[in-house]
Amino acid sequence: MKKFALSLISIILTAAFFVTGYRYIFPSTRIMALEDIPQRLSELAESETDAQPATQELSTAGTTAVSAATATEAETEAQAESTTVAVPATVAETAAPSETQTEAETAVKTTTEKPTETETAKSSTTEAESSSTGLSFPSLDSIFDMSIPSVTPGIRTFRQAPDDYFEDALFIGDSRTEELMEYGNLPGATFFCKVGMSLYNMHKGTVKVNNGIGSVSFDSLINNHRFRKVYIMLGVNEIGYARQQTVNKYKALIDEIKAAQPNSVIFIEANIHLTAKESAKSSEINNKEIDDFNNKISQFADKKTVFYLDVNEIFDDDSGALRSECSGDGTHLKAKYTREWGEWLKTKAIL
Amino acid sequence: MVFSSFPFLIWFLPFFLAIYHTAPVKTHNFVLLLFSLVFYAYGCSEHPLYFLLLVCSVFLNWVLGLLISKSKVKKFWLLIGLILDFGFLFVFKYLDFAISGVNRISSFFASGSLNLYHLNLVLPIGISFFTFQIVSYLIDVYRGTVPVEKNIIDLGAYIIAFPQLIAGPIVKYGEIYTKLHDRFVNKEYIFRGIELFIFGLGFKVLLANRLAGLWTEVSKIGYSSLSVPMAWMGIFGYSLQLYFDFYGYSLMAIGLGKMLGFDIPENFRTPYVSLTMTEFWTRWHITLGSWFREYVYIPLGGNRKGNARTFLNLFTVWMLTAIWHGAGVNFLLWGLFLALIIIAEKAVYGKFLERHSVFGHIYMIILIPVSWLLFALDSMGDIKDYLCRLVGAGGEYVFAEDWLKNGKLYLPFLVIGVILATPVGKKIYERIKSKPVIIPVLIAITAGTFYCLYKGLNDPFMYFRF
Repeated sequence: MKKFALSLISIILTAAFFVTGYRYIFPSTRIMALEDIPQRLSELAESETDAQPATQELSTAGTTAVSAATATEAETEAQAESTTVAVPATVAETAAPSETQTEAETAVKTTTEKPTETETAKSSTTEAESSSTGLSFPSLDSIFDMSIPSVTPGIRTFRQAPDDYFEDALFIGDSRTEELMEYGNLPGATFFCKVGMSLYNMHKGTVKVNNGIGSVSFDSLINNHRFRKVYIMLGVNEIGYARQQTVNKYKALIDEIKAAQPNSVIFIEANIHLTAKESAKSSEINNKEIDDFNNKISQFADKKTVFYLDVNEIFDDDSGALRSECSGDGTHLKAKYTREWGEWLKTKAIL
Repeated sequence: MVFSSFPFLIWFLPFFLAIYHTAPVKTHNFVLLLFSLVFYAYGCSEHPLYFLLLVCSVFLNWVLGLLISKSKVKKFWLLIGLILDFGFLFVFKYLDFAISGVNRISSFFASGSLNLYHLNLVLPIGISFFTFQIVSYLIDVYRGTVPVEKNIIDLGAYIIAFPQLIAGPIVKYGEIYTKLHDRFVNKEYIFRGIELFIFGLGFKVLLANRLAGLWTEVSKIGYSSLSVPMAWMGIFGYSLQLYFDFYGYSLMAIGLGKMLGFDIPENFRTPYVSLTMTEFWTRWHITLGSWFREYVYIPLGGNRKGNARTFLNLFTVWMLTAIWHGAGVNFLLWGLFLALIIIAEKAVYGKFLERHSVFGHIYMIILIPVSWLLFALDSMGDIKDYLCRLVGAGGEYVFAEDWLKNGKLYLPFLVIGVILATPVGKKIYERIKSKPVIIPVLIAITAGTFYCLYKGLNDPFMYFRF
């Protein structure tokens, strides 16, 4: 008995030694090589272009003037979409030009401040731009001057995220988002997530948030911190509850975020599918129900300040279920695929 | 029906005990048989054919038993019995694996693969266990070591008895036939039975089911993305989970048997303090090892025919033991691994380990969890990934703090598990068992169990693949 205890203690001490020092002894844990990322992204972008043909072409070329360009684009956009939920620039331009000018200018400044990144990103992802908004830009270099913003309030297309993009991003979600926090490689992002989180319990109690924020309630988090992008992936834990009630709660959440973070962009993330095997096990929690819920919440996207992202497009098999190699338990993504999710999100930035 | 579930604990068991103990002693076996049939039917309600299979199997074996004892061609009937019983086991458990093997091997030949269809049969629960019990009966009758069972009800009660039908200790007919026909219970028996049952329940629900979350977490992350400490924590957790799961279930079976007056043999004797792999398998799943020793190893000659023959016998027994656990390439590999280790111990370093117990303990503490890897994972790729991560090689997308997060959640269970896996647990029990404090302890365990079951947390019984 004593000998057993002795050997156990020696093993524990050796283990403790290893645990504290292993990172120095085995530094070879490999992360995706930086060189591989552009190739992977162009692969993802290519599969996207096939799925979403361009529906519109921009006919007018911009001039060198900032405001003129914003006006032109805004007008075209207004014509094309004929929405009155306008483009602040168009409406305000007639009303209070100076105000909007400065607003547009600051918007322009922030986008032109990072010309090099967007430029390099554009060269590898020009195809990626003909995405959810349905607009297709011919080679931007020929049409737009670098000082002219390639995006205006009103027309927003997905871009490659610059390195610090996620520093003012908030991710809200359940266990899948928690995995994203650990394995997604989104530096600087804030995560409000917990295993089992749902629309029905997220406002109750506190959740431990990263980035030094500590245990806070949801209300206190969104009212005391500034986020320019908010990502939401919720729905699977409450999939068995009354559907319309859950959808209403989702809308209420979006409104709540808009009220607390007025200038932010909200990303509604479609809930990731289950594997076919896991989906077949339950009549309540299966891909059919998840798809129904995802469809309903996608209606809230207006492509201006609220966007809908569906990462299932990179993980699904032919039957619309999660590919079985992507998950160990049928419900959660393996670390490797969570990392792919993170990299995919980086191609879906709104600048 | 699972022992650690509300239908069993609240409905089946109290009702059964009430009827059993108020019925006349002569009908006890009949009551046991009846309730065991209900128990099995509940479990295979989706495959009613399997219930019929079990009943037919009992009937056929009863007939064969009589034939073996009375006929002049005993060997013939024994062979028929073995072919029938093992045949069922083979068809349900191993046929698809064999078909895959045939397909794969035939594809090496120029004429093209046979591409036989898989039957995709669902395994009848408990088939590995009751097949071995039936065969032990037939062989014992053939050898003449036991009188033949003329009463089909008694035989049925022995084969289908619900305490050990699904996953319980494999009870040889010779060990139980006296009690089968003549047993009694008194307060001591009942209390001891309840005690054992509650401890078993506690081990299973409060310890094994909680540790199961750790292994789920490990599979969720992906074996190639574990950090080194997490990989080790994973296999230690799995080893403890497997032990308490099976040990708990065996204790429950023994406790139930005691409540009925049976003395079911113990199945585990603190296996994790073993010094050699050979010793380990005399402490783990004792009844299986003893079955193989009595009906395979010793008939083959045991260790009495020289070294070479001993090694061959050991190899055979261990391959069969591994195959018993499951049909898959990883089980074959596991059997090979165990066989080689045990042969090496016998031939080379076993004595050394026994004499220098510190080395023995260290050797086993590392070897056992690693050997469970072959048992737990059925894909060669996964096994390779995991082994790499154990030594820090080949990781991708590792979250370096994963072991901290999981460690916080599971550390108490791991520590308690380690303590209870040593004789310390037994020593504590010996000290408190005759004192009044045992009652609140039992009540606390029961309350904790019910609470966990109520919360509806997941319950994988790993040996249920059998």
